Amino acid sequence: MKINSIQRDIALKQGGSGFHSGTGKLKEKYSTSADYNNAGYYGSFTGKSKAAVSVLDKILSSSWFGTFSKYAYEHNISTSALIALVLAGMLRPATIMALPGDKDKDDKIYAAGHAMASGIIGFIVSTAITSPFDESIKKVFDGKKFQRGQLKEMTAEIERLEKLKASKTITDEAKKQLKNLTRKRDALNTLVKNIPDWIIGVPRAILTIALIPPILKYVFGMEKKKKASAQKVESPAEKNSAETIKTDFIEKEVFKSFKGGVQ
Amino acid sequence: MYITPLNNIRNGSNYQFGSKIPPVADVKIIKESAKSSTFFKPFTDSYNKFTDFIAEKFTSRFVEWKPLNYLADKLKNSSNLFQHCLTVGSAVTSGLYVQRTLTNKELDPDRRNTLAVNQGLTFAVSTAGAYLLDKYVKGWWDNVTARFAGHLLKDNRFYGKYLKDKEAIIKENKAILKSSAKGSKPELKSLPKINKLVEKHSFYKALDTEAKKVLMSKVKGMSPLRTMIIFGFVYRYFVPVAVTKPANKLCELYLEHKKAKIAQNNSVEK
Repeated sequence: MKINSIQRDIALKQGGSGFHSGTGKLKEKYSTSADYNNAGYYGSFTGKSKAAVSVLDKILSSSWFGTFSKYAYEHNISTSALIALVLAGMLRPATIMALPGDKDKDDKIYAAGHAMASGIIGFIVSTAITSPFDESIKKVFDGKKFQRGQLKEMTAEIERLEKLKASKTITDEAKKQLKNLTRKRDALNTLVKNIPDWIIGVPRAILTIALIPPILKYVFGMEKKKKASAQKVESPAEKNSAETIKTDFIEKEVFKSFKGGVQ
Repeated sequence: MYITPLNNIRNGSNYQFGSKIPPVADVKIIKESAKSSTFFKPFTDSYNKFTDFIAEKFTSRFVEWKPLNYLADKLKNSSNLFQHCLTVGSAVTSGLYVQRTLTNKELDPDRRNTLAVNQGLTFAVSTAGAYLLDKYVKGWWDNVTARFAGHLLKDNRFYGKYLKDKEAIIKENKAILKSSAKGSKPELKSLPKINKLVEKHSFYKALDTEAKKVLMSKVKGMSPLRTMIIFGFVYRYFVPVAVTKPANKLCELYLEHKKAKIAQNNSVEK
């Protein structure tokens, strides 16, 4: 008989995140287990790296990842905006700053600030607008309370056919019908979840364009002055490369230490 | 036999493979802790009422909209439906920027058109790249999803079994392709579907309806997550960092070349 340590009880033992402790236990338990290796846990992620597999398992077994995955399924637009926030608001500014070229450092800082502001506005606007709709979509598809007409009939038919399938009395034709109906319902769900993105796309872009200058000015302390000779219009990401900027943003300590380029 | 303190399963990451704790206990504890939270109750209640209102007055009617049902019917067999949705969303935004370029009075018509074509082409090429990358990553991501499902099902053999089945089908398909005549399209076996494997799993079958929905949402969320990351990477990182500048430089070179040609023609005419 094996009795796990009572110290694992989070009510008794303070400190240490579950993220590390839980997976550490997993590793401890299975690192020498033939079962674990036979199951293909090691050596199948990249084919080579045990460390990568271990990190991947830590992520996949964490509760936050499960929550995030569920959130991604239920809130497509908001999750897309969150990923855009990480990529455009963190990774892109870091890359812009790390790229070589000291001459246009001010431009780079402005472009980085621009990307951050754009990511933040996109995420806030998308989440604020679409979250209630996503919740309502979940209510319509998951419960019968708000269903009417075609969807109600479709759900009832799927339930009837699933009962037949469970009792193994389903015919081949009914099986095909069940597959078609389930697929149609899933497609409808995906479309309903994502069409709001098409609708809010234009106002969100206009709002982003309008809000970026004040955010850059009041949050990041940056201002831009247009060159008299500036003659071209570029994509949103490149918009600022032809403009000179006036900024006290770079005077901040954190950005003084930010050096780009190959040293 | 394992005896695990009940509190241990409060933290999802603390579970163990092969644990004998009934899964329902996990759900019950979560439900109890949710019930005991009264601080946010007024907010959650009014938010619930608001979403009920939207569900009743808008969403339930929108779902019945005939063109939407027609579209769902036509696209139900598409394996790239979510990708198409993201593309349409990006096309709307890119279209707005193209329109702004085309109506920009500060630019001369020649530059205006060239820039608009540049923006349109950048969008088209990056979209094609996003689809390709998404397809390329899919096989690996499915393995990650199976691994994730194994953790959710608390079954350390699930992933290994999935890989084994997948490999066997790939081998079979290769053999079918080898033995088939050139030019013919033989019917290949489809790869194992993780959702179906989860549905057949004894752990999943033992769950109550609500817990089943939660688990399945987590597994189903992995596919859109992959597409979101790939499309987000291409549209929001790769294109602005690596494509836009070279594309604009090419655009400038083209305009200079065009100007030089016109100037040369004018001088020849004179």
